[in-house]
Amino acid sequence: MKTSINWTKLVTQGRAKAIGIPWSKEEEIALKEGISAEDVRAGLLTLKEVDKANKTGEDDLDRLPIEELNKSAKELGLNIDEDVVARTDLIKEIEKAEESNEDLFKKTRPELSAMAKELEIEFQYIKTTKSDFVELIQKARLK
Amino acid sequence: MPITTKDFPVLTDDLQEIFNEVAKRKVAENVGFRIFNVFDNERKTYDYAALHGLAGIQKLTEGQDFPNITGVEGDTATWTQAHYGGLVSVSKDMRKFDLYDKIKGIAKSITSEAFDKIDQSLADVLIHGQDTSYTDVYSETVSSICPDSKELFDDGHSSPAGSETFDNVITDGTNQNPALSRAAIVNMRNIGLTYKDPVGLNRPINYDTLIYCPALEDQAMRIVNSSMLPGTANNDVNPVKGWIKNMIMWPRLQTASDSTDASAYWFLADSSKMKDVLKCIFAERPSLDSPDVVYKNKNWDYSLDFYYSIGRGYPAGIAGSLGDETTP
Repeated sequence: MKTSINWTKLVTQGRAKAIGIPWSKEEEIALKEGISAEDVRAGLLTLKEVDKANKTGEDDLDRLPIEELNKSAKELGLNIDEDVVARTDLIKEIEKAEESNEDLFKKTRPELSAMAKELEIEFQYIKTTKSDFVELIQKARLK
Repeated sequence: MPITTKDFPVLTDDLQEIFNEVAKRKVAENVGFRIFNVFDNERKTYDYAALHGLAGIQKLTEGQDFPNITGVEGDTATWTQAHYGGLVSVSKDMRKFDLYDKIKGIAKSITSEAFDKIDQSLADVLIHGQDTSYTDVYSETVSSICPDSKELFDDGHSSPAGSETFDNVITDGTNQNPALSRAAIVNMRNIGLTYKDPVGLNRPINYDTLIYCPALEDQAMRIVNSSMLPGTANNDVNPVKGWIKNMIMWPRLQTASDSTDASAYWFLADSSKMKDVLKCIFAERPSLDSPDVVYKNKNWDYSLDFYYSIGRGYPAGIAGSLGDETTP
């Protein structure tokens, strides 16, 4: 016999750590102290640790609320189903997309133009800026 | 005289009668069926939804339309039925040498085993009430969490309907998981009666049922049945006697099927609410079916099988203690 519960909803509401993983006792204590679910997920279990992280800006993605992650994913052109995607998977996809974007921005305009041609993207070289090329290539890759 | 093919219908009737007799006795004896809400459901899965704080009763002015009662939906869970069964084999030897007692014994034993395992699987739900999973009586690892992802007995049950949390780990006012005592029952009565639902409305839980194993029977009887305060020389009345209406001694609570020693565990329940929490859902109740054919090995194989699942809802109505003063 099997019990299935709505983990996605619980994770979204900050009532479970991840799909299939409830909060541990230490994490529950941190939540009761008022530390946000995102910070606890990022391993910050005391207010001191949260302050330190706020100053250094470390683990930024891990600490973002799910709504912000969904927004970032959309901005990066990722095709996701917000209702079912696991938070950890979403972070991985955003990281990958960001890395891929960084690589594209490192390329020169002629290199990007060559890539766009390979992907059979229609464009006018004169009117297309570097960031336009990046956007067109990202969209074509998603297709 | 050997049992021959001609005797097949007669033997089938006899085995069916044995099954019915044992099943009837077991259904009456099995304590789990008194604690769990046992019902039938034809579907493979059962969808549970906790409804918290149905609200809508308001003061009405003359001629005003009645306001709609709105439900604050809580957490959901899906419980999937599983199939269990076994064969009663009547071998050629048994028939040839007319080992009727042995045949009867096997039928009795397997029927009894089916109901015993079901009852133990229900007892394991309470015994493992502070675990997230355990190995059940069928040697399968099963999840034991409630729809809010917490163990059945947890000090921080939550709900999407509001910020109120609910604690159903028994406490005596000082320690969590205390040994069975009058002080713990008194404290839990106070906690139960002042329980607020997730939207903050007081919905009293009347802990009127004490559930325990044989190791605690003597103490439970003394705490509840004594007309004066037990263990003291004063003449004060013992109010627990009036509060606890049902005392349920469940032998299978003493040891779990995975050999966990639960002899100090005890539980309190509200008899009007516990069946909303604990569910035992049958798609098919245990039945003995006769074979259509006589097989090549000349065994006559009678099958005994059933489908069921166990569910745990939002547990406002039952509380548990491991009796060892550990922090859950």
